Amino acid sequence: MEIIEVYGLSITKELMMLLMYVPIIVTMVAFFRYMLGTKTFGVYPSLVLALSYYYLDTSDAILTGLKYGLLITLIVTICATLVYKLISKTRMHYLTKISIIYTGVIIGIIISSFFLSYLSPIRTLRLIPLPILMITTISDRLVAYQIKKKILTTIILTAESILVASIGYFLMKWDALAEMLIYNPSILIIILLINLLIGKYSGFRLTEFIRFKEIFKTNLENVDSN
Amino acid sequence: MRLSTILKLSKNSILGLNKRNQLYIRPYNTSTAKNNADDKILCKKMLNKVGISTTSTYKVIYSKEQLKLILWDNLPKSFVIKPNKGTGGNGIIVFWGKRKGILEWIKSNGQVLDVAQIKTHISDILDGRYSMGSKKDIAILEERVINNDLMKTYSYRGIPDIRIIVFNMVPVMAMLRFPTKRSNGKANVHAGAIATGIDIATGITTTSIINKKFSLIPYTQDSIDKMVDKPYLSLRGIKIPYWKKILRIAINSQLVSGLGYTGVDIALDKNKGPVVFELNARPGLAIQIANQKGLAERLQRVEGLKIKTIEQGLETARTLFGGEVQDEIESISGKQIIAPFETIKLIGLEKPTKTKKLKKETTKTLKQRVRARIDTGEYYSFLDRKVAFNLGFAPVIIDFEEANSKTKDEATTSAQKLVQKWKAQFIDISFEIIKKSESYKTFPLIPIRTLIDEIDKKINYKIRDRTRLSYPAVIGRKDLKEFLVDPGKQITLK
Repeated sequence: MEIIEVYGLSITKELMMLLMYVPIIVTMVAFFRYMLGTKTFGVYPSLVLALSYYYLDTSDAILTGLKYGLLITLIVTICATLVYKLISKTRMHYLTKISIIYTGVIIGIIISSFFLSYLSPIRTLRLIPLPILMITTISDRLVAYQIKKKILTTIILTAESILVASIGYFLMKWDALAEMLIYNPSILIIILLINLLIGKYSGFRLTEFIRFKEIFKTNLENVDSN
Repeated sequence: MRLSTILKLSKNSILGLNKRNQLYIRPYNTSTAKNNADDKILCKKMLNKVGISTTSTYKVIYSKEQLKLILWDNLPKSFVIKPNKGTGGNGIIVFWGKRKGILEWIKSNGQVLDVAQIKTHISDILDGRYSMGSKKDIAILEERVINNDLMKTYSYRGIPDIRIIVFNMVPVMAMLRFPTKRSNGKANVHAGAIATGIDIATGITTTSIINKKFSLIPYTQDSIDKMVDKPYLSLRGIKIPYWKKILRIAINSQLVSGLGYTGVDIALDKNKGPVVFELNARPGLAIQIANQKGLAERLQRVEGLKIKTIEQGLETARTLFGGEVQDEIESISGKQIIAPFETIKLIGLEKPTKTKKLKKETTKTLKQRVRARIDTGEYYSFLDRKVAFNLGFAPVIIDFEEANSKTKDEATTSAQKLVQKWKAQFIDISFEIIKKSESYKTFPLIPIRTLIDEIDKKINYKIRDRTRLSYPAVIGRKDLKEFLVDPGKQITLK
């Protein structure tokens, strides 16, 4: 474990890196919501996914890259949706439904890791357990959204969360940025300023240009005819 | 040009989510008011206190222990189960009827639920399955709204509801949401219900939208004109009954709720009339697409106005945001809409005049503005004799007045002669013969160029002495083919 010194403080490099990336990813989620209009599942799932992807990448020397994390997310998403679809018609208490969905997701992961292990030459999956568990927690959100919204909306939200998390993953993998952040925690002041700016932004979100297309159309016609 | 217009519209006219939250919801809706509005039971109590009718509550279920104690026999044939803090119509079950003799109720889609199934649904509600943020909730059993006859023709199973955005005591924008087959009887736009814009002044529907069925970008809509499930029904031009009353209720609800910016949902009950469904502290933005108009512009105009009474709020809305429908009907029918009393402009003959300075002969067209009564009860149009004189038709009229004939034939021949005479001078008159005591009198019908609400046409006027009547001119049916008369149109004094 590498120990570094920041402003006279001795701290592990890993911890410092994690600490510095949390505000950056959270800011990114805020930027995506208020400037671009992609909703995502919120701060927590995106953060958890990004960190999980990062950790999964470092764990197995053979299966590296983002694909691992994405694969597990995909398995979780499919399992949670399938199990929900299976039991949505049966009437039972809400929390038992959630438990059944979690159980289904875990079964899915166990089965798929059996197959995944074949990809590894030593026939064992050397993955850190915690990131996998963290990814499974998004199934809770998945189901909560599926009950209230349409399935298409949920899929879009999931995709958005994965997109934000992936960008977060690439930022964490970007050595130059990581080095700069680790040794200059004062960058957080800039992050604060960016958040203040986003917080005060009252203009359109990028997706709203598409959402209000019909109004633009009719109003443009009026302008043209005048 | 195109892009700059879009940017301009997005900056000033249309309300985006960021702007809504920052400029209207946060400053005007306090957290207490928001909590009160989200709580349906509390909301009903507040509204009932000031005499606004809501759906009456049969039972409120707070806990699972209480759920066990419900006397199912006492429940009526039709009722609704609702989560107290639900959103977007989730968790609501509407029962339309009951099986005879058994404790089984029939849902709007025909599905039958027994007591056990209803109990699981209620306990789901209590567990917070449908509430905001999955918190524990309360279940409400309440009266089912019975569709008003007009609304019944337009709805698929559910109840259409009217959403009115009220800001600073002024109804700013309104829409009507129709449940469809796709929305499964829910009046929720995101679920696939139709949203139709309403003209605030008249309560007549305008443009409509429906969510795209498959779209990767959420919240994109198609414009539609006809009811989806009943394509023979046009969505445009529906006159909503009790419109003024509905607006008053909306304003009053905003006042009572303590919310500065609110969406009031109102349904029309067959027996009770307008009934407030719920108050919304964070009303959505789809209403803009339904109306094809921006909210931001309207909110800016209303912000800071000192409205003291409900009537004042109503009047402000009607004057500021009304009048869309009139243009619409005009564009549909191609007919100009005029008031029962209009100022018309008459253009008479050219009269030679001498200008003092140049001592040169020029001509001047004689014109006069008069007030006219638009009378669909009359066939012909009439004009006062004096006005006709002013327009230069004096010789024609006098010619006819001097002709007196004993018999009808004589009158006809003499009148025909006069017609020929004036035709030579390019005045294409016709005549009428009226029997007066012993003699027959002929009257000319004089064609005069007339401007009614900017439409230029030649009208044949019957000339009468109307000096003692209040309107020197009457426009009859014969000359009103290009017009629609709107008794509600305001008389403009030019």
